[in-house]
Amino acid sequence: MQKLFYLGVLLAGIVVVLSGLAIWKPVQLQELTALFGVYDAARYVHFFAMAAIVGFLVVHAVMSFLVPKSLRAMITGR
Amino acid sequence: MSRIRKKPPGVDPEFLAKDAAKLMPDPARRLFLRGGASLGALAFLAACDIVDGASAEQALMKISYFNDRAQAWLFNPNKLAPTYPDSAVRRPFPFNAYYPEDQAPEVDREDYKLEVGGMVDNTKSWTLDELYALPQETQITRLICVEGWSAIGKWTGTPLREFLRRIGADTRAKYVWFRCAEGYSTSIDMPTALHPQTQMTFKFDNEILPRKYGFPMKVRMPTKLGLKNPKHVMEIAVTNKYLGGYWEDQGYNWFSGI
Repeated sequence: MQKLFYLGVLLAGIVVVLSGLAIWKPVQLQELTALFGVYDAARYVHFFAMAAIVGFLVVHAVMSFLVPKSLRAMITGR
Repeated sequence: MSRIRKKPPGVDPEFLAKDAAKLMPDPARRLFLRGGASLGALAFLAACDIVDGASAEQALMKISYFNDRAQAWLFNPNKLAPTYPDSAVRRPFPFNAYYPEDQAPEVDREDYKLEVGGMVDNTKSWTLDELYALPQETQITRLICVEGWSAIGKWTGTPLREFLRRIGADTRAKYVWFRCAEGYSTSIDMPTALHPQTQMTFKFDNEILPRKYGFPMKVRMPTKLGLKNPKHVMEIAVTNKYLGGYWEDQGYNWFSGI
């Protein structure tokens, strides 16, 4: 479950970069934009990939506070 | 006196050392944490500088200039913007300007003369009839606004490069600058000015360009954001001097390519 979560955020990171380039340069990088279908589709993909990353970060931070042991381990190494 | 220590009975020094090491934080981790803390402190110090208006502006403009260079490098003068079928044209096409629609400038058809200046052989002004007599092309392309929306439109006019050729423009110059009736202005790089789809537009959707879309002439370039597409163009100048533009002078990115 946790592994799936981390794999997901990695994929979202890749998608957010690709869709970002696609909406930054829909003429110069039009082949990339075409991968997402139309220009507006790339905008939606970019937004939802961003939302997925923000969602991951929120859950990630909340969990670290719910399990105090993990936060201590990050600082002291144990 | 002998410094040789006697082993305390029942204690193996090797194990003792290992136990002690376990109590110490890992040196690599310690370095990482200390480095992180220093970086944070540095960011705070730098922030003192960055919240100060002028230096923040300067730092951001440096990034914007870098952005200009990156985009100029990425710009392919032979790459055409995608074109669409007539059915894809947005009707009515959105009006957009920094003034409301009823305050769009009214340019008189008879008085209009396009002024030409800068590094050109012939600075003769052009009447609308003379401009209309130039060869014309139609493009159906997507206009993308810096605000985030986009719309497909149909523009008809003369390729700017054809006009530049006729006025004997020095195409080794860096910029082409446009001055508009309402006080707007913008400037573009020469490679974009020579792009086949950069157009002096006289018609929108087969109709003479209405006032709201920039009568009597706008310059349309599907390789740049909407703010680089000036309406009501009164003067064109070819220059090596950077003249910025209405939005560009307020901090908008100059190249604004897409």
